[in-house]
Amino acid sequence: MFIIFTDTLKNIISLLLTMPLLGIVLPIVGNRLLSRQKVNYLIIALFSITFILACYLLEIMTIKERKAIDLTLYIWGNIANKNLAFGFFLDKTSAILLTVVSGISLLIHIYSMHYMRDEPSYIRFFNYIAFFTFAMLLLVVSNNLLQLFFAWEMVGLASYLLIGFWFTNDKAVKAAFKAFLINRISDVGLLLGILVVFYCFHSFNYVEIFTLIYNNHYLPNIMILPGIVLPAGMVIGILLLIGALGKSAQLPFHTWLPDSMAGPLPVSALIHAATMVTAGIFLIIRVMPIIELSSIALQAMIIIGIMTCIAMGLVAMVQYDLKQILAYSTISQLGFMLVALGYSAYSAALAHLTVHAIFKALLFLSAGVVIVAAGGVQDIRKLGGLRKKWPSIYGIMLVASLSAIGVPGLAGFYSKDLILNAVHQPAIYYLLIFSILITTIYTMRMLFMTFYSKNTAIVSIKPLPWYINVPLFVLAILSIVIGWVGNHTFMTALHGVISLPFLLIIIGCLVTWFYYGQPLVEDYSLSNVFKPIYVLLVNKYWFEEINHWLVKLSKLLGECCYKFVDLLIIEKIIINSAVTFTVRTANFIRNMQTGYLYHYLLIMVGGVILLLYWLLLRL
Amino acid sequence: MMWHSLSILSCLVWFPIIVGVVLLLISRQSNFILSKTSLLKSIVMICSSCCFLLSCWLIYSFDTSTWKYQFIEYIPWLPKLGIHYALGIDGLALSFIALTCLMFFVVYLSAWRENINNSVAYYSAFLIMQGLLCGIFASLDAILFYVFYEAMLIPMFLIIGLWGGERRIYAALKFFIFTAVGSITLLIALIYLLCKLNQLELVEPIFTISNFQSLLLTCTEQKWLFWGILLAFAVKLPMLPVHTWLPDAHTEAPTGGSIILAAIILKIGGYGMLRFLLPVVPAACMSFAWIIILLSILAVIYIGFITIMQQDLKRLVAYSSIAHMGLVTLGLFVIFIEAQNYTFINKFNIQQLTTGIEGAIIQMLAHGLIVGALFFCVGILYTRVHSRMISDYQGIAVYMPNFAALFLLISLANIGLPGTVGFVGEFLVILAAMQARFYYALGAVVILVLSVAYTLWNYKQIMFGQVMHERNAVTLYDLTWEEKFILLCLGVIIVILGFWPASILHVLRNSVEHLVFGIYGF
Repeated sequence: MFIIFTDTLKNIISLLLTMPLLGIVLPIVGNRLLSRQKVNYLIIALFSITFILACYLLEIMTIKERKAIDLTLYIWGNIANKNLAFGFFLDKTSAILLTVVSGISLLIHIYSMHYMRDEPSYIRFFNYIAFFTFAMLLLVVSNNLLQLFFAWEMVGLASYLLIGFWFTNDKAVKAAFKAFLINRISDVGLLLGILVVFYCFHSFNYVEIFTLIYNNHYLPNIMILPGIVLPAGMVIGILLLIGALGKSAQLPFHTWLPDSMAGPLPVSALIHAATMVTAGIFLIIRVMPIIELSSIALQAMIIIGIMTCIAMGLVAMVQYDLKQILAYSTISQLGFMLVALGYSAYSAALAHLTVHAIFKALLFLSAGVVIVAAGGVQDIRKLGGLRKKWPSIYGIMLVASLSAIGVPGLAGFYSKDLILNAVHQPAIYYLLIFSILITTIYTMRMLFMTFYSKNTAIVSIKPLPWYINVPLFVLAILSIVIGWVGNHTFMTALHGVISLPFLLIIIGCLVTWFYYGQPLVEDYSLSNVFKPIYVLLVNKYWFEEINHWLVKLSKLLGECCYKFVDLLIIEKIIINSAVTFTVRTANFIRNMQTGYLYHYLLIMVGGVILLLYWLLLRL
Repeated sequence: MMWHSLSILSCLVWFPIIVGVVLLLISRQSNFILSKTSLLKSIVMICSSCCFLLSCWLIYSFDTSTWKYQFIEYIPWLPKLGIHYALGIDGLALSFIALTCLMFFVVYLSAWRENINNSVAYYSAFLIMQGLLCGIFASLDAILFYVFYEAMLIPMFLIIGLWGGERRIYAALKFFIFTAVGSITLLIALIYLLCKLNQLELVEPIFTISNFQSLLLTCTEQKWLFWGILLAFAVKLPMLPVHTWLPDAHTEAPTGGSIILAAIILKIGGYGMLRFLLPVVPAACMSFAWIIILLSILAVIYIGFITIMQQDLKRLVAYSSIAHMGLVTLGLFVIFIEAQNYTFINKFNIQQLTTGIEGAIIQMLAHGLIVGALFFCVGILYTRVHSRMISDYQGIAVYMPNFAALFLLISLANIGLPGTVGFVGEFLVILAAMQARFYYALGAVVILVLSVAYTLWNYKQIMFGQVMHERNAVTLYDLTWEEKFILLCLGVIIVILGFWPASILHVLRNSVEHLVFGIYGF
């Protein structure tokens, strides 16, 4: 048995992070010297190395079962003689996520090479996603909260750049700005949380903080507002949770994610479905010992998670845009993971994160193929009948959908099963099962409307190049088999067949088939029956309107401050009156200098008389 | 105090001033220089490069292991009154001098292609101002400081008044009167301190700034002195109720003037507070800290909202400066509240207090770099489109891709994105505020959200979307080499300091620690 030295491990992680950085620089250089195809191979090579290194680290951490390790890279700065070191923290969680992120990133790089081939700023696109991959990997291997915050903001920046990739498109740049702003609001929560952690533990480093927590470190109370004192654990838990909610697009910060679909499709697959949005979930898993200090934060996670899961799943049921359905489905699935975190089922959440990354990436990528073939049509009412014309893509989408629903035997089942097992409150348990029913309905509705009904958009079917086929194929295989790791095999799924969730899945499929499987006769019947609910869902609970109202309010506030306080009160009234006072006083004194001799004489005589009078009085 | 064989600081102060004056005199005599603007520009560039290299040499040979003043120069001036020509720097002064030399270099290079009316006078004014600003940061003697401080107003007044925009006379007068009113109270305070020092009958009655700390002032005296000194520097910084000169001055000044005004002159306010307010009247600072903190947080929130609805690009950057300066005063004064949390005060405790001050200093330096670069970007846009209104711009990124990338970097630094130096200052100040009171930090973080709202929204309005005015497309050319060079240099510095603030903290550490020890009498 051979031992891997700490330094070697540090070098491996450094190399792993260098590859995406090279992926930013080399294509720019390569674009001038090499042909497009060679640049493509270069990019694939770089990200393959990243992926292989990640797999190697995963092997070390899981199969060889190495202990978690904390590596210091360099000193970022120091606060009051306390050095803040940047470095790497490697354990099973980070190794798994490294593999997931680098693997999906590799596949989506390959996919994009065909998908974006006609794009004038082809290289810029790859610069951005390489930057994103770097930032996401950095986030995963950070060994302290400050570095995590760095990477956290960097992935936010990458997301901003990629949503607004087509910067002449007004809708896209607005969505990019919205995503950045909403994320910033929640990031402020995260930053404050990190600062409170530093205040309590005098460190940002995970290992140091966790050691202090295991030794029952004393936690002070914190006065959050004058007169309101709360225990530090609760404050930290809630603030970190706010940070996680923004990035993972949970209520009430979710509105940016559906809009972010204005970006290129591979971006939606990589960033806004598979990897970046799971950063919030990762954060909670990573700071698990800190979060566990506060039961309120855990309960908040359960409540927000279940609310998001059901509410956004319901919205997905009435959407007609293919990418929007997938976006709402992502939000809903993230809510599912959040519930698992609330019950401290961290490994279950991590499992669902991994599985979700795979099947959601697959759903997006195959949807991309359909959209391109239909000439950019995303409305599922206009798609349809593709099943017979294009069975291969139908098969892939079917696998992804069934895995997403959680049909026993497929990957999605195992992770959902783990989460359901962890839930010990019956009410939440049944709500989660209800959410599985909703998932079934919106997923099958999307599938049926896209592939079964007859009104067909003009679809040009061309044989797909390997750039597209390989990622689809790999992800499809993984969507089936990724669940069969460890003790889980295909046979362990048998108990799922006779359980309540599966019954609901079958019912959901049948109901959906009844309504959407047939050639579509406008589905007014349902929307008329449940009119109020339908209106609620179509308007997405009016979150957008509330946001607009808030923006208008702050603009109005700015206007008032500027026009009324700054220009009127400070400038006109206070400062101008000081000026006027000076001018008037000067004028008054000037007017006293009349220049007439008898005025002066009068004043002189009067003065002498007054003086004499005063002197006389003193005598 | 002793003579130093190399009077490098005097060189930094007087060399540009002498060059400026000589240029002015020569241009009176003959038109030779006037006719050859490229020669003039070369002379100015060489002069400023020399100053820049000198400042680099200062950084290189500066000993960071001590808090003591270095490169000391000392000549008796009015010895009977205890006034001397004394120069010397510590970590604080060094960082500001380096910033000054860098930003003036940027200003001269940015005007490389511009045709300026009466360019000799323009460059002379800037050269003289550069020397005076270095003098402010390098002087050890309070009266010398005051002389530089007042003299600096004249070239700035002329720059705004002669080369400014439409309402330049109004803006220049406003700037002058606001600052002069503050200066008077500072002068009164300094004279009072001078009398006090002379009463002490020191063996060697030197009117240096560090001697103020040895004065034993009563609480009442401190309170009066506090307001006197505060008013001078609060106007300069500017703090909330006395900020209204700044948007006008920034908007009307020429690009170079705006850069210097924002990058250096505002910093004199913070620097002055560090030198005169905190160590000299600590008891008054302690009792009035809550007022300053309240004003700072109010500035952050209130000015932030004002900035959101600005239509004029320069005015927007000016207002965002005020909001960022709010964090500086917060960082400086939050230490007094933080100390109240300690049950007892010892040397170890006191070391914790350096965070706020270091944060404030880095915030000033960062803001100098970032806002200097932002005004430069606005200047670049102005030379092409000749408008400051945001609504006149749309879809610039199509025609100026390099500019779009670098402008984005600077904008991201302005919103305090981690990885840029903008984050470091904000982070340290908010951390210090958090350690004092949670709700101070809660108020201060508003800037993180509001700055995104105004910076990125306006970036979007200017750079993205379809090109609306086709006529503009003709005049839009991408960056020239010197513009690219400047923005790249500033961008690289911003990013390096963002990822490695240890370098700058290392320079500041001992000086700040000494300052904090001084406040608490260790």
